[in-house]
Parts: sequence; C-alpha cells; structure tokens
Amino acid sequence: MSLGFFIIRRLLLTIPLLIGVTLISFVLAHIVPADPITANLGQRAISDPTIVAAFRAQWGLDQPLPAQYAVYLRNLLSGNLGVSIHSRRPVLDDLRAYAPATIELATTATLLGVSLGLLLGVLAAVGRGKLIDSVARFVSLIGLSAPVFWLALIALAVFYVRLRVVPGPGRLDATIKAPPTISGLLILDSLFAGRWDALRNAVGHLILPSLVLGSYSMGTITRITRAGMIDSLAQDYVRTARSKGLRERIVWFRHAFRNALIPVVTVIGLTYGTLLSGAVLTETIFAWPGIGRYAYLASTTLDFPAIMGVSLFLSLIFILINLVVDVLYYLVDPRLRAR
Amino acid sequence: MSSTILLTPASAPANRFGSLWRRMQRRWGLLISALILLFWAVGALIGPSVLAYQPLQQNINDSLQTPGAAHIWGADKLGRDIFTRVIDGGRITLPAGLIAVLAAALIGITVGALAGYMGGVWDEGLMRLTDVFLAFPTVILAMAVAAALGPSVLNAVVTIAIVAWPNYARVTRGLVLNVKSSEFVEAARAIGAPHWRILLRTILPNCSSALIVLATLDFGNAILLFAGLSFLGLGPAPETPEWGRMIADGIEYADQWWVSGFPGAAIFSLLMALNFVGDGLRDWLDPRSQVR
Repeated sequence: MSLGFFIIRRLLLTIPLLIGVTLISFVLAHIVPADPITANLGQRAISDPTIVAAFRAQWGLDQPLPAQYAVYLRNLLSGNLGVSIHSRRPVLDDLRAYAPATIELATTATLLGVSLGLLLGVLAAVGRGKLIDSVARFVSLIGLSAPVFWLALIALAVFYVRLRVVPGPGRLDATIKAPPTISGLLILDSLFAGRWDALRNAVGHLILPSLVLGSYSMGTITRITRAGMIDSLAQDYVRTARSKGLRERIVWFRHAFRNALIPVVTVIGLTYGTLLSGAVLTETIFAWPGIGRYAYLASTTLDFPAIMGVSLFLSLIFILINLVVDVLYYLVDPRLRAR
Repeated sequence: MSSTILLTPASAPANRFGSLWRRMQRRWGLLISALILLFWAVGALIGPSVLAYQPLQQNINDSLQTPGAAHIWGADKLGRDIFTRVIDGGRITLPAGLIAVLAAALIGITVGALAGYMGGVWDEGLMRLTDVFLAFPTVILAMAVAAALGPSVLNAVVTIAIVAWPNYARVTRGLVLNVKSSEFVEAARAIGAPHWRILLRTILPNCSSALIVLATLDFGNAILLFAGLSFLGLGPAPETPEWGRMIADGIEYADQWWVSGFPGAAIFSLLMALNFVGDGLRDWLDPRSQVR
C-alpha cells in the first residue's frame, strides 16, 4: 500500500468519526434535564415569556431536534461552528482566541515530559536494578500518581509564593505589553517582533504550568522507554553489536534506543492529545486563558454551540495526531511497508 | 492504555496465592501499597465511629490551626478537623471510584465481548461507536456531562462510567478474538453449548486476568477524574468532605499548606498504591511481563 493511498484512506475514515462526535455532543446537549435558558438568562428575563421565546427562536431551540441537527451540520460544512451563547461571538473566533494558549502550553509540556521521560527511561534501563533505576521509577510513579491540580498548587506555593523564582499565573506579567498577535503563540510572536522582554517573561510563565502538566507524560514515557530499552537490550542484534567491540554508548543509542522508540512514538501522540484536552485543571490554577477554561465556562453555562465546537476541534486534532503517528510508524518501520 | 496490557490469556499457574505471597515478601513496595490501601479502606469503614471530631463540625476558634496536638493534620478556615475530613473523604471517593469502574467495565466488556464474539456487522457497528467515544476528548466530555446532569456524586459516577467504558470495550474485543479460536471453545461449541454459555462460561473467564489489571489501574484514573471534577465544582456539594473539593478550598491559603496538602497526599498515596498493586498484579498474572 502506498503512503499516499494510506493517508487518503485514513482521512476518509475520519469523516464518519467526526460526524459521530457531533452526534454525541448534540444528543448530550438535548437529552439532559438542564435548560440553557436558566443557565443564560437572568432571573427577571426568565419570568418574561417574550424574552424566553425570543431566546429560543434566536438559538433555534424551538425547532424539532433532527431539524436542529441538520441545520448544525449544514453550517458546519460551510465552516460555521455557530455562535457561542455565552460569549456571543462565533465559536470559530473563540477557538482562534483560546486555542493558541493551550497549544503553547501542551506543546511545551509534551516536549518537557518527553525529553525527561526518555532520559529517565534510558538511564533506568541501562542501570537496571541499580540506584538510578529505583530513582527513575519512583519519579515516574510520582508523575503518574500525583493529581495535577495538587502538583500545580504545590509548585505555585513553593516556586512562586516562597522562592519567587518564577512569575505567577497568567501568560505575561501585566506590566509587559503583549507582542502583536501573529500565531497567537507568545513565544513565536515575541520572536517575530524581536521583543526579548516579552519572550523572557512568556517563557518564565510557561515553565511551571508545563512542568506540572507534563508530569504525567513524563511518567508514562519513562515507563514505556524503560520497558522498550530493556526489551531491545536483550535482543540478538545488541549482542552482535557488543561482540563487534562497539562502545557501550553506541550500542545503547545507535542500536537499542532506536528500536525502543517505536512504541514511544505512539504514546507521545496519545499523550499530546490528552494534554490538549486535559489542560483544564492546570489552566484553572494558573489562570491560563486556554481552551480548557473556555470549555469549562461553556460547560457550566450549558453553552452547547461552544462545547460542540471545542469537542469537534479537539477530536479533529486527536485524530490527526494519530494519523501522523501512523505515518511516522510507516516511515520508521520498514517491515510495515513490506506488507 | 490498551498497549500497556500485554497479557496473553493463559491457564493459571498451580498455586497463585503462594507465589503472590512470596513476591509480596520480596517486594516491600507491594507490601506498603497494600497497607496504604488498607489504611484508607479501614478509615472509610470505621472512621466516623472512632474519630474525635465530625467532618462537618465547625469550630471558629480553631480556624486554620497548624497541625498539632488538637488537630493532628491541622484545621481549615472554618476550624474543621482536616484529618477527620480526609478520612471521611474516603467514604465518598472509594465507593464512587469503585462503582464507576465497575459500571464502565460492565458496559465496556459487554460491548467488546459482543463485538469480538459475534463479528461481522456487530463488530463493525459496536467498534465504530467505541472509536467515536475514544476520539471524543475525555475531559471535555466529562465536564459537559457533569455540568449537564448537575453537580452531584451520583452524576460524577455516571460521568466517569461514560468516559471510561470504551477502553474496556477495545481490550475485551481483542482478548475475545484471541480466545475465540482456541480448541476448548470449539469443544464447547461441539457439545452444543449455547452462545451465551460459551461467551460467559468459556471465553470471558479466560480474559479475566487482563481485565482485572485494567480495572485496578483504571480505579486510580476514576479517583483522579472524580477528584478533578469536584475540584472544578462539578462533583459533590461544596461543604462535602471530598478530596478534590478540599484541595480547591485550600487554593487561597498558600501559607497554610495543610489545608490542601493532606487531601492531595491522600489521593497521591492511594494512586501510588493502586499503580503499584496494578503492576504487581500484571507481573503475577503474566509471566511474560516479569522481565520488565
């Protein structure tokens, strides 16, 4: 199967999946006992039947369900995700405004988590049974077991309140003017504008939340890397490499590590997707204006256009990440191509 | 998740309990984990009848008191004893997590077993449904369901079951497909056993060990999600002594670390123990993974 055909087939399979996602959020939005009217109109407005009727008509709440869903799908095809009941702006605009903060956070978190995890995993496997192994496994267990919102509180209390080594919550200090928005990612935008003060400040603000958010991936990646390395260090080709007289370090990295990477790639893809959608708790504590906060506000106000928009956006990213992982697999592992 | 479960359904070793005990003695980590689990379970069971304070008992004179003789883990803003509240929190979190995992397992195993056993259209339909739920961002789904149903313990449990079942479906399907072609299944079919009997009595018991490991590790995830939902205010009512809720109460008190420190430590210790036990179970049930 050629790579192009493979990608097209996978992309086509994405369509029913996304329709399914819209259907779930739509059904969810309409079978629940809660009423968006009480969540969005004030006390006095609810007691006025004309206002309630106008609200229903404005959001299409007065039409039968299949009709509402059909309208939603038709709008979706033209790139219209609807208007958020809460912010009264098009959901697409909201997503554009909130997504970059989360993407910046989740990407940094994944980078930190993956590099620390790979390092700890390799060290643990190479020094298996020794002190370094126990330390690495313990650190990874902490990452897997500590509730992220608790870690976040501890990190803020220690590094911000006590030691004052990092700036506090938010993406930038209030005293620093934000660089002009191009990508929405503050690091890139500061670079584009040559604003070194903003860059330094933005990076400072990113460190703590991304370490906290990345702790779980660190834990997972350490485990998978350690297991993969131990597996591949026991393989025949490693013995061959050693018996050729190659230096131990070359055996580890050139021979064992590359083969141990294959399962790690899958996990990296999965955790990146999880961090994007799972950042809400971290965002809450660090006052991070990201998509998790947006989804939280949307949930508590039963703002279903917004919830559906966020779900659709995140599912799409999740599916695309998985596609990229599969393509990487295809490229990395020659055995798959032969099939 | 499923990639970490590498169990092959194999026949059980002769004396499992003997080997488990020997392993426990060798591995102090497992022993400590078992003790931690026992501590929280016993605390939840008999806590209220032996503790000096009540979880909701306020004493404004003790507001934010440091851990000491009167309150060994300190007191919160309203002077409520944190040790009592944390112990009492187990009475909510442990059953909630357990029921959520059992419900998720029940749904997921049913879906996965049907898909794997029936094959064909059933398999396609059920697994595509599972895929959709897997593609749906978990936390967003959980928040939306919890917010829509309204904040309560029961609704949080329902929420967790809804987001957690697809994993069981996928794993079960794989296991069932694996076992389905075994000779003993063919033998059962040959003597004319009905489908439900083959599935329930012959196939599923042979998938049980992998599913038990999955559920153990998932119990931790359920507790984490439950605490996260209550932290966001989408769980039990505000005054309830629930761990995530208590951590949220402590946000304003960075200097009074004990207010959120101890409830967090409770979740942390419980999860660590569950992870340890889950890994131990996996090693014990699957000889292949012992090298790891």
